[in-house]
Amino acid sequence: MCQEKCKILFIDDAPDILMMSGIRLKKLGYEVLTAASGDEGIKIAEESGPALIFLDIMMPDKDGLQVCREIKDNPSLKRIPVILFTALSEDTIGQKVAESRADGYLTKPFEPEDLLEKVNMYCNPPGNAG
Amino acid sequence: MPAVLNEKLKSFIEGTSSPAFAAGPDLKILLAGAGLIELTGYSAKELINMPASKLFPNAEKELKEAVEDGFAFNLNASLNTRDGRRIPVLLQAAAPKDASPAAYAILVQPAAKDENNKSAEKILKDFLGIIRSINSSAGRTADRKKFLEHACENLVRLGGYNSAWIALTAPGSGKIFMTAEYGFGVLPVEDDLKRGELCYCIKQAMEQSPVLIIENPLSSCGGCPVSTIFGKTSAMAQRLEFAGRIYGVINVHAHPDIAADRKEQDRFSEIVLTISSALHNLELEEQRAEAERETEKTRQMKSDFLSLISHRLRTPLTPVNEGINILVEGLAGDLSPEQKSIISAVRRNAAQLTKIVEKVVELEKLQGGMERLNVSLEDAGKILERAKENLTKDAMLKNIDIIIDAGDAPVRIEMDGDKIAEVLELLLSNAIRHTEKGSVALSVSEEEGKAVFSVSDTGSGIPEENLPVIFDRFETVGSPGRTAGGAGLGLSICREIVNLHGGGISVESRVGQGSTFRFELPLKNASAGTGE
Repeated sequence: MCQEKCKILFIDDAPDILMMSGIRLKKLGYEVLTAASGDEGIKIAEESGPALIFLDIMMPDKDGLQVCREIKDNPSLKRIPVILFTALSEDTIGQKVAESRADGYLTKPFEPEDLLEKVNMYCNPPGNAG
Repeated sequence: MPAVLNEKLKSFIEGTSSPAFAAGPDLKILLAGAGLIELTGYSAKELINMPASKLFPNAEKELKEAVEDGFAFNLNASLNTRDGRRIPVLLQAAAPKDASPAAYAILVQPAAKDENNKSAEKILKDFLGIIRSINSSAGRTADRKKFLEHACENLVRLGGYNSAWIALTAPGSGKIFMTAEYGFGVLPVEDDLKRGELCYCIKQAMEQSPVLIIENPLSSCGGCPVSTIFGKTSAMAQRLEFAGRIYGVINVHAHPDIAADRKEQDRFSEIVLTISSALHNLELEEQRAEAERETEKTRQMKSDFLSLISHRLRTPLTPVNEGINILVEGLAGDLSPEQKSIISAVRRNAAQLTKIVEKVVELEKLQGGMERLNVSLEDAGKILERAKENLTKDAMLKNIDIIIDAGDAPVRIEMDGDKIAEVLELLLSNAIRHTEKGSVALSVSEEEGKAVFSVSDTGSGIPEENLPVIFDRFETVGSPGRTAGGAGLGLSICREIVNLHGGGISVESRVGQGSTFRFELPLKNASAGTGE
């Protein structure tokens, strides 16, 4: 769990989603990191060690499932929980979670409580950190 | 005068992979093919000038008679190899038409098992059995070619003909697009067919339905495709026809005595009919498989398109909804009363839009056969309770009671509980929306092996002229003036889910008195999990 300020990384090619998804968590005291592509996300994850990653599936260049597999194959990153963050239909997502070895999923558009549920599952509330 | 080994015969013996040799009227070997050298163990040098009777000692008399007869023949014999083994074989022989005196080409085929012990009738029965078995096997184009080859081979090996040739013609143009042949002296003729016209007998046979018998066809026509190097034979040709459709033509060569025999002609016709019906079945099978491939392709395309569209719609809704939530919750600072009322209206409409997107996607999936039911045995009363619980808040806001009547004995149904709960919730939500005071009622009962659900309200009712279209998409319940916030998709979804269960849905309504939606489901679900 988080040592100092809990870091949460969003990887998504849609800038508005990156901006909007982080506001609520920042207000709650989390540190929110963003990346517009899988490769950038992996780089940021290696540098700053987030407690949780939200990962979009449909991205140009490299899709989220491939990015997730790379994270799970990377010894220094594989322990970080990855939540697939996707606008795909729920009935196909279970298989994608299993295939990519992700830890869960959050569908778009999301309800605030669903986002917080995922965050609370993997991160201590910032006030109680340490 | 030594027998003439003409070029055609020579190239046939040298070219065939089957054991074959050419012999003169004295039955001394003139030329041995590689297959025969391998089979007998003799060298080419040893075989030249060897009497054929040394290879086939038990068949000496028959061979001699057959050669003197001058006809093409099939003969069961036993081959003596160089190392003393005896191999049962089928000899097929013919002389080319333009060699004088005739040199015979003799093809040595391995004998079919127990062929000698089979009565003619048994052979015929087996043959038809083989064709029928192919008949029932599925067919694509590749299999049709295999079927033709199989049929030709069996006509010669079991049916006793010297050779067989089948050509398939395209409907309309009558052009040959596929051929198969088997038997001694048969050469692939596709090049010939491409170059020129069909020979006389084939053309004749194509124009009439009875069996056409051609005595010594080589003198009467330009050259049968099946008899390139045959000597004296008769041909039997008939068009392949079934259920009014002409599939092509078949031509076999046989001893003139066989071709002249009425019974043999009938037997041939019966075989031709069997082959025709097999071709008919193969064609039907091909059409069925093709239609199935098309349906699956269309379904897949629709499914791919739908997931793309839903992805495109949901993606921009994500920051819109979250942005509104942040403003409404004051996470981005306090709002003035006017700003608050504006953003509340935006939020309601964004929520409505999100709901419509989800409903459109769901309906498309249901209608496109992409939705699968997850069927289990469920207590209908519990599903009613679930629907009531989920809408209690809405009902309380309007001071409306939800009354449940699930009967005395529990009604247990094989159904997708989540989907039926969704139907009930959609109907209940409609009922509440259109009722200003009073109550709405949910019930389920068992009638004649079916479960009958109903959702009634004491609301405004639906004008009679709207009833026929009410389950169509984007038809909102009631008059245009009072859409009451419905998306116009709920009832379409209800109908699709009920239909998917093998049930039916209907409505009764009177303006000013209220409406009752009723749907019935079979207690046992026949289409469990098929989604069809």
